[in-house]
Amino acid sequence: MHLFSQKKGYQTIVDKVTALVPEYEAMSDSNLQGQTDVLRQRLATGEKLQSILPDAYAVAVAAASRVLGMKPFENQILGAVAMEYDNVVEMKTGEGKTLTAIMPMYLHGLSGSGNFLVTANEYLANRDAKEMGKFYTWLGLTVMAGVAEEGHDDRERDQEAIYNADIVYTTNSSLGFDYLFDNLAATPEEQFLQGFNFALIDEADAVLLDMAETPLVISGVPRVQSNLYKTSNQLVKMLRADIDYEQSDDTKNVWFTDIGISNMEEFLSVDGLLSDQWKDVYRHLLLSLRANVLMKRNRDYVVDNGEVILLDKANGRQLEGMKMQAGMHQSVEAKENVKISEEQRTMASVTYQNLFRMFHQLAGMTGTAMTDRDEFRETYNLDVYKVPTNKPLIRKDLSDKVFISTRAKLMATLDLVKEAYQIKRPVLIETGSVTLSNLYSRLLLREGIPHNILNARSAAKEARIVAEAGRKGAITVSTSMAGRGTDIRLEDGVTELGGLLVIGTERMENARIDNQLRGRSGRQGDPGQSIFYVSLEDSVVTENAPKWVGRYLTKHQEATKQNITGKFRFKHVIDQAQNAVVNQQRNARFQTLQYGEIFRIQRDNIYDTRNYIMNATQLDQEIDAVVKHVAKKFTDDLGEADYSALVEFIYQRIDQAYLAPEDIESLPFSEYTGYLKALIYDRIKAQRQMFNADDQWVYFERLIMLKAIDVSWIEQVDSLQGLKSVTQNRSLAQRDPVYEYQNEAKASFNEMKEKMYFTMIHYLLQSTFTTKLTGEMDVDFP
Amino acid sequence: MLKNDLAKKILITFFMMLVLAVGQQIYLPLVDASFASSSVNKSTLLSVLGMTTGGRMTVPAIMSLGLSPYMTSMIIWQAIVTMDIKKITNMSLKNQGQIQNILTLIMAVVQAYTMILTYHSFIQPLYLTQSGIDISAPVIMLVLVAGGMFSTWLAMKNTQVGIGGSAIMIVPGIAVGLPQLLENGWTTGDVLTMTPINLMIAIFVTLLFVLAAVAVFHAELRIKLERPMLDSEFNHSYLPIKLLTGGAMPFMFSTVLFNLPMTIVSSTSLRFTTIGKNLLIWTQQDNWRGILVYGVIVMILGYGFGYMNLKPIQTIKQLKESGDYIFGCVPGEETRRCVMRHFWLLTSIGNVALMLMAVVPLIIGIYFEGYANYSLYLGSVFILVTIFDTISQQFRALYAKNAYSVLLK
Repeated sequence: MHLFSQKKGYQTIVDKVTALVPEYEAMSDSNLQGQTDVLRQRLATGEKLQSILPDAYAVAVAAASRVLGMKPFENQILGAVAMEYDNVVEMKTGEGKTLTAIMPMYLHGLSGSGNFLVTANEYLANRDAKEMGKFYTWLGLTVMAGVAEEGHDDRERDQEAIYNADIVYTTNSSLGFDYLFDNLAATPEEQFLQGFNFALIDEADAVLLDMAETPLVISGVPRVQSNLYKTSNQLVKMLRADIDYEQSDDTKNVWFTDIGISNMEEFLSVDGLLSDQWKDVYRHLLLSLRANVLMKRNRDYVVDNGEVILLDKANGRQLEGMKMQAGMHQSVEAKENVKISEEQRTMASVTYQNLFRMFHQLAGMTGTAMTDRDEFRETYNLDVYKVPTNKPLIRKDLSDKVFISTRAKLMATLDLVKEAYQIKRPVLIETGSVTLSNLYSRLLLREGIPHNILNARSAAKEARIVAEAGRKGAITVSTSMAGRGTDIRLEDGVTELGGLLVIGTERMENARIDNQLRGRSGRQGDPGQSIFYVSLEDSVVTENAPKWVGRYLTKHQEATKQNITGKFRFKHVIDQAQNAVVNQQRNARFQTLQYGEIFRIQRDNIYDTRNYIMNATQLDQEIDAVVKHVAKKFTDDLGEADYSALVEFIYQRIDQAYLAPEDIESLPFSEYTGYLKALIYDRIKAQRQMFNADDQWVYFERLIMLKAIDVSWIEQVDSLQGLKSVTQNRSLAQRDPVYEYQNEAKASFNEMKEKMYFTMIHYLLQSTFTTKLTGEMDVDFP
Repeated sequence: MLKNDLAKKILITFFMMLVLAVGQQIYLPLVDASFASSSVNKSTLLSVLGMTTGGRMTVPAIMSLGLSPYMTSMIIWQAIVTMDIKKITNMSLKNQGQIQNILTLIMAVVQAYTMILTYHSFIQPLYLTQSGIDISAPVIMLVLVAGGMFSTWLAMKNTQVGIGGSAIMIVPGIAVGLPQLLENGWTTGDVLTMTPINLMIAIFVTLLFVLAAVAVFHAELRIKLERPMLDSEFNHSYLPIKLLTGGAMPFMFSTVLFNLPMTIVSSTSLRFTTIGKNLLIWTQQDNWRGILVYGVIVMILGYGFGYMNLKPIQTIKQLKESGDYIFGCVPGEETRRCVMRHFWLLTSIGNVALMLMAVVPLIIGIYFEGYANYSLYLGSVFILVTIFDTISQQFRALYAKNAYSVLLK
């Protein structure tokens, strides 16, 4: 528990560190490098990380100035200390987070592998691994970038080397996917992760909060394909808005009206579209409706090369490889008239919430964290610690200018840009989406103002452009992602012009993201200004503001006086709309957490079992237990003597060459279990004889068990995803939906287990083999 | 490790219940306890209201209000939520919590004031030195409200670290008050003396009733839902409507409403008017007219609380927006009609069950002395049944949560 003496406590440690630095600075190169071993020794004798921290940090400070030419400031050391004590450290942009991070990373690197510094994109991970890598290697630690180099494929990475390294610079998605693939491995050789020790997360608010709800999903295993997408799309395109279908006020939902339904019924010559008989058709129509009305091209997705690719709404980046589930993606493909891709099932899934909760220790850094401290605490047990800036902040954050229409607003911002351009003052303009950034670019071109645009296509290029955004006369247009990652240094002479001017052309869904943008200006005591221009047509307003705002907009859209800044009524509209969104998102994340907890328990169980099987040298006992169970369960389920069912079961699952003896009809029910067991054991013997070596047999047993688990788990993952929504309705009968989910998930898991045991036996007894010339055997599953 | 978890939670809850019980034994300052408890027992209103909502208002103790402010404010909040006002639904959980706290405070003040009025003849004056101002009432008000808020805090804490949520805290109060309720429930009626025969009948009826109550409470209609946006072979989707749509809440408030006119009339000058006297007749449970009125009140509460629990406006909206639908019903208005039809039917049947519990004993009570008390008694037993049901749900979930294994042993 952190009391108000928290700052004092950290300061004491910082003082200890600074007192030790001269001692290490005076050492020779080899002596200083040798300190790593000294510290490692101390750990080996049982000292805790926190007690060797002062020395470790002092070594780091000394080495950093020697190797990198940069000596950490005292406030950076303060941030580094806070990071060790379960904090998300709030350090403004430009305060040198990258340099601060090397201290806790060094400290944890001393304890071995499993330490990660997680950044937002591959470019940063590679860049920092290279630049800071010099520091770590000089001190004798191994460092790797967890992501592929730019232009290289992910699969070319040496995963073994990466995860054996003491320190890994990686991205959250890279780490997450590696975790999932690790757990789909069939042999220990295909597994690389060495455990999750410590993670220091850069842009912690984006990774831990904004991205928390989106799970990482690996899909495979195609589903049965449907051919109703195209026809549904054609029908839906003929419907009329507000007559055949309606949208919700926040435009996030859409549904058919009864007129629409009867029209569709007429068109399809179908009676009762909402009945059991036509539910599949209705489903496709509904999907099509949502695809056509709710999903907008160039905002939610782009069509590139005949493919539909999803966009990250916040920053306009293309989300390669991500597809919508449950047929939604295919409906959009039908809408855009591209080839309909295969529907796939989820094979493995994890949320960032759960991924990072697996670490023994976490820390974070970002420019904006205070607003969400409650959530950090509840979800990740992290406090927020604000590090004071090295030099005082003198940036002026001006109050918003409010306009009625987008057009008027954008024109007004243009005036501001022109003003700044005249005196060569650099400007950074943030737009809400890729489309808007392109639009703005065209406006600037019309005015004859040369500028750069950031379009989230290449992170490396982006970093270069952003770094130049502080030069005289630089006008940079970007989406909201420009808020993160690279520092904007001002060219000489710009301070006299008033520093960097940051213009936001709309407020984002979260005040935190807005603040990130503001933070691009005014670093390290530089002067600067930030201002937001908003309009009543901005999406955050149209989706979340009270109805009267919408009415005002419709009434006054064409009014001559468009600037309504200062009108009392509108003063808080934007803030309140943002708050509404923030609260919804928070509540959603909390729910995700609760449901994710149950999923996690099941998943951990499955993965632990997999690992056990993979590393076991003998699996006979386990198989034995399964055999006994299956025989008994079949008999119990049968309930009474039914020799034809018995024979069929044997034929299908145990032995296709089985010939029922004449007297099978007279076999008493009480002997069914024993009879089955005997047959199964016989069959196992027969299979065993196909193998020459013992270890090959064990390998086979292992293989079938893993495959049975994987196949069953995939279905369970699918079911669990659906189960969440299924149980939410049950809150109406005064039943807690989370408890319901828990109970149903458990029941579903048990069902899965039963299926899995039968599948195991099936694979075990009915797989066929082909021996290759090399003596290897190929297994053909039934 | 799991067992420890559960054991710890049980201990914590036990401790909290103890604190509440002790607090309800510590008498208020400035009130002459012996005088007070003897005559105030006469008020059915206070005793039943207090008991069914976790308080003990028949005794002037510091935590007499118990959970009553909390429970009442929860119900008011539920009613507000049912109206589906956008401003409310957009509020953060934290803000919603704050508003609930303020509501609880207001209720505490109101109930404390009621208690003071009831006890006012037994309050000793406390004068501010030399000024002659009697501050005894404000002081008592302060203590009572503090006691009420503290009990609320205990209940909320229990939800976090104990077991049984907040409802478990009212269980001891009810359980302890049950015998008294059976003997003396309708303080304006006959006493049911506990002869051996009556005792045996009581036990027999209670057991039978509990079994029936559990069955009836679990009974629910499951309207099959179709979920087009979900792509899985899973179809356990249903919209549940309980047979007793209002749960046990009609019982918590039926006696209050019934006794309210009587309390007002007998303590004001209205008792001398013809209207007042007529009102008294119609709200006494020992005659046909009173029984009729009571039955009507229970029915109305049954429909009212049921509606509140069903939240039809939100439910239908949710279904419509997520694309889910009931076979044969167009999403939107028609679905609302579909659902409401089920609701009316179910609640009406449920009301019959409520009538059995509430009104039949009263009818019997006209012929057999004291049996009218069964009406109140069974109502409280039913409340206990519903609370235990929720708690056992929690138990099961906690127990099952971590107990997973894949391989057979």
